[in-house]
Amino acid sequence: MRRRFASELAPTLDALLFASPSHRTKQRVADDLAALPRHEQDTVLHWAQVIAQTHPELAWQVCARARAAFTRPEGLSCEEFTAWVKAILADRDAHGGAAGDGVKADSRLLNDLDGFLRYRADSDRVDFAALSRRLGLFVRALSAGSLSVQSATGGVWTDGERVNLPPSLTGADAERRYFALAALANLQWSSGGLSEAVESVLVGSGEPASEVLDWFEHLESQRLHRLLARQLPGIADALPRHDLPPEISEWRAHEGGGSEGALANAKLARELAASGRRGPCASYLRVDFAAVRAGRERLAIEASAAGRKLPNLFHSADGQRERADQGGQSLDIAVGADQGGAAGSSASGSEEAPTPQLSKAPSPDEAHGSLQPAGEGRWQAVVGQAGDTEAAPPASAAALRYDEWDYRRQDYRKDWCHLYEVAGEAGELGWVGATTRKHARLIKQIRRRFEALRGEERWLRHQIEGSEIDLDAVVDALAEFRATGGRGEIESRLFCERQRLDRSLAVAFMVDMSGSTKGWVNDAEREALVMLCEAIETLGDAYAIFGFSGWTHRRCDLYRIKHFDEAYGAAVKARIAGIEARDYTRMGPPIRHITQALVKRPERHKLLITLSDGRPDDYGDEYRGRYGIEDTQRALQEARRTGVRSYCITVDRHAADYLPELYGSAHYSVLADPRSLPLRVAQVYRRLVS
Amino acid sequence: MNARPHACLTHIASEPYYQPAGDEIETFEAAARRQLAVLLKGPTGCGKTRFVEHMAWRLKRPLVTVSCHDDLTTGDLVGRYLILGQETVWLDGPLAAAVRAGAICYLDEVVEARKDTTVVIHPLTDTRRVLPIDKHGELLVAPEDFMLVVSYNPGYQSVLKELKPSTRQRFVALDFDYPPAHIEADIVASEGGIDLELAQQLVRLGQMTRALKGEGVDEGASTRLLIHAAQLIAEGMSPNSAGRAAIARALSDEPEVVAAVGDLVSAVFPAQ
Ligand SMILES: Nc1ncnc2c1ncn2[C@@H]1O[C@H](COP(=O)(O)OP(=O)(O)O)[C@@H](O)[C@H]1O
Ligand SMILES: [Mg+2]
Repeated sequence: MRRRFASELAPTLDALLFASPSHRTKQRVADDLAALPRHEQDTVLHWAQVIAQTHPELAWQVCARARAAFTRPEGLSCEEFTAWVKAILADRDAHGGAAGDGVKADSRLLNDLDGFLRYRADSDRVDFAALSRRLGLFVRALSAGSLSVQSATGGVWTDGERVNLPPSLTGADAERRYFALAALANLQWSSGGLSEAVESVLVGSGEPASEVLDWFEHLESQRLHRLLARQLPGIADALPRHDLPPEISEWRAHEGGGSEGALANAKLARELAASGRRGPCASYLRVDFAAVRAGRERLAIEASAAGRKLPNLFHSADGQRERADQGGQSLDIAVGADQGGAAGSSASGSEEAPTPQLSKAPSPDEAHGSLQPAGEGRWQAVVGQAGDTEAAPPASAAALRYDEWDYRRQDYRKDWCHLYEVAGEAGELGWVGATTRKHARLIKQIRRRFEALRGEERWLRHQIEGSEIDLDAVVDALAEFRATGGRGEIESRLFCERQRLDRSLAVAFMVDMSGSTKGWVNDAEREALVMLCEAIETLGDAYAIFGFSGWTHRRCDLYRIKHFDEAYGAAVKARIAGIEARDYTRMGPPIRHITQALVKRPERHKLLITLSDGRPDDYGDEYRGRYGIEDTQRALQEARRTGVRSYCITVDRHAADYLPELYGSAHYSVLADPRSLPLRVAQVYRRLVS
Repeated sequence: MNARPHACLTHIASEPYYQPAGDEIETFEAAARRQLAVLLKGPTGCGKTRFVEHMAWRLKRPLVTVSCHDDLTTGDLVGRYLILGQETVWLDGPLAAAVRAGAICYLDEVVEARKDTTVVIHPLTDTRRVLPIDKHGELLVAPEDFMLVVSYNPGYQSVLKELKPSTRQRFVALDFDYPPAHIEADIVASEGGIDLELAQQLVRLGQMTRALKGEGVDEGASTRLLIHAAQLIAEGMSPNSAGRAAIARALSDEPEVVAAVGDLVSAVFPAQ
C-alpha cells in the first residue's frame, strides 16, 4: 500500500488529537510521518488513537517522536515501537496519571528509547510486574492470607503486611529466585525473626546498631534458608547458600525453626559485633524494625476501630489521621510510622478521663482531635456536633431522613441522617470505551462465562402446552389412569417446553466513594463496574448502581449511577467514568435507602453488593469505630428482614476483623490487591447468582 | 408391594474407613436415637458422604443416597406408576423406599433440588414423621429406624440457592470442615496408599491453597483432591506432576491461578 501524504495525515491527526491541550500545529508532525513507510504510519496512527482515548497530550508526544524513532541508525521494528508505547502507557498508569494530565517533558521512557531497548534486550531479566499476581497468590497461600507483595527498591524485607521485592531480577533462575525470596520473607515473619523480643536483644546492646543488624541479617539468612530447604525443598535451591566465613565457623548460626532460633541469632549477632569482627558479606533479607513496629501499630489501631481491644485508642488517633482527600493513594487509614508514639500516649489519657461533652460547640479542629467518652451510659444525646457546620446540602435535591442506630442508647436516633439522592456527575465519555478496549480479552472471557450461566436452559416438564410431548408425563398419566381404573382426573400437563431459567433477581451495587478510595482503588472500582455491567447485561438481571459518600449525618450523598430501569448506555457510562473519591463512609443511610429501592422491585431475589475499601467511617469521631460498625450491622439486619441479601467486596486488608460481624462469614470477600477488583468482582457475582 | 428390596438400598457390610474430627459420631447417634433429622454443613470433599456411610454401618441401617439437582421432581423422590405390559405397577422412589425400609436417606447437596421438591421432606421432619404419597393414595408412616440426612455447602453463597429457614430449622446441624492436619494426613495416606510423610506434604500444600479462597479459587483443595493426588503418586507419577494434575488444574481455569498453585506445588515437591 502506498504511504499516506502529509495532506492526508494532517486532518486525521487533527481529529485524533483534537483534545490535546497543546496548541501546536499538527502540520509538522504530519510532515514527519509522511516520510515513513505505510506500515509504520499505520502503527503510529493506531497507537495515537489508542493513547488519545485517555492521554491526548501523550498521544501527541508519541507522534512527535515517531519519525526520529523509526529512522534511528539501528532501525526500529513496529513491534519494538509497540512495546515502547505500551511501556510508556504502563508507566503512566503506574504513576496514577489521571486522564488529561499534562505530560511532563522529562518523562523518562519517552525520551530514552535507547535505554528502553537496551532494557528490553536484557533477556535474563524478570520483572516483578510480570509475576506480581502469581507472587501475590503464592505469598498469600504461604502466609495463610496475611501477607501480600509489592515491588520496592532497597532489598527484600517485610513489615508483616507486605513483602517488598525488587522491581526486577536478572541472571539465571531469576523467576524461581523471586518465589524463593518471597517464601524466605514469609518464613522470617512467621518464625519470629521480627518479634519484639528479638528487636530488644538487638537494640539493647551497646554495639553500633548497624553492625549488629548486619550480622543478624546474615545469620538469619542462613537459618531461614535451611528452614526453607526443609519446608519447601522445591524452591530453596534457587538461592545460593551463604556460608559463614570459615574463621568464625565456631560461632555456628542457630538453625532452629521457632522464635528461639531467631533469639539465639540475635544474641550471636551481638557477640560477633562486640568481638570487633568486620560485618559479614551477603544476606538475602533486610530487617526493618521501624517498618515492623509501624505495621504492628497500624494493626492495633485498626483493631481498636472495630471497638474491641482498645476502644479509646482509635478516637485519640483521629487527630493524626490524614484527611483522606489530601492523602495520596494509600489505603491505610491509620497513622504513619513516626506518629505511633503520640497515639499511644494520648490513648492513656482518654482511658482515665472521659471528657464530658463541652457545652460550647467545639471548633472543627478541636472536635477532630478531641477525646470522646466511649463507655456505656456516659454519653448524652449529642447536638451541635462540629461537623454540622461543614456540610451544605446540595441545592438540587431534597433531603430524605433515615433513622440511625445508636448502640450506646440501644435505640434509634429518629430521622437523624439526611440523605440526598442525586444523579452522579458525568465524567469523561471516552473512559469506558478505553477501559473496554483495555480489558477486551477479559470481557470476552467474562461474557462467555456468563452466557453459559444464562444459557442454563432446561426442559420445564409437566406443562399444559409446549413444543414437545413429555413422555414421562404421558407414561405417568397413562399408568395412573389405568391404575385407578379411569376414575381419576385425566392429567392434562403432558408437554414440555424449553425455557430459560427464570432468574428473577434484582441487584443493587453500592460503591464506596469515600476519600480513601482516591487513586487506584477508585480506578479499580470504576473498571470493576464496567466489567460488571458487561457481565450482567449478558445475564439480563435487573441492576442498579449507586455511589455513596458523605460528611456527617447531615450530608449523606447517594449518587445514582444507574437505575434499575435505565439502559447501560452513554449516560450511564459517563456517570461510571465520573465516579470519584469524595469524603467519608457513613454506610448506614445508603444501605437503608437502597434497601427501600430494592424492596419495591418485583423480582423474587434481592441482593445488595457493597464495594468498599474500609470500615464504616465518618467525619468527627462519632461514627468511627464501634458506633459505625453497629449502625451498619443494624442496617444490614433491617435489609435482611425485608428479604434483601447483602454481600461485601472489599480491599481492606483488615476486613476480617469486622466483616464477619457485619455480613456473616460467608458473605464477603477480601481482595489482597485492588487491581484484581475488576476481574474478581465479576467472579464473585457469578458465584453469588449461579 | 414390591417383594424385592428396592434397588437403591445399600447394606453396608464392612466398616467404611472414617476418621472423626470431633464429636460428630456421638451427636449423630444421639440424633438417631431421638429420630431427629441431621444437616451436614461443609465444603465439598471433606468427608460428609463418607461419614454417612460410616454411620449407616454403625447403626446397621440400610442407606439410600440421592444426589440432588435442579430437575429433581417430587415424583423422582417419592415414586411413580410404570406400565409393564398390560399392567401398571407402582414403583417407590428412593425416599419412599427408605421410609418403608427404615433406612437412612441421604439427600446430597439438598439446595440444588427444586424448592417445591424440598417441601416433600417437611412432614417427615416434624413429629408426624409421615410421607404422603398422593398419587398412590398412601400415607407412609416412618418406622423408628428411618432417618433423614441432608448435606449443604454454605460456601457456595448463591442467593438463588439458599436453604429456606422453614427447611433449615428442621435439622440438627453438624459442621464439617477439612480435618486437622494430622488427621487429614492419616486419611490421605490411607486412602491414597502413600506413606505418611508424603501425605503430610500434600496436606500442607492443600492448606496453602485454602488460603486462596476468594482470591481466584472458590474453594481450596479438598481432602478428596489431595487423595486424588496421592492416588496418582501411588500409581507412579512424580509428586510434582500429580500435584499439578490433581490440584492446580482442578482448582481453577484461570491461567495465572493455575500457575500460582503450580508454583506452590513446585515449592513443596521439586520438579524432576
Ligand atoms: N474423616 C474422614 N475419614 C476418612 N476419609 C475421609 C474423611 N474425610 C474425607 N475422606 C476422604 O475424602 C473423600 C471425599 O469425601 P466425601 O465424603 O466424598 O466428601 P463430601 O461428601 O463432603 O463431598 C472420601 O472418599 C474419603 O476418601
Ligand atoms: Mg459428597
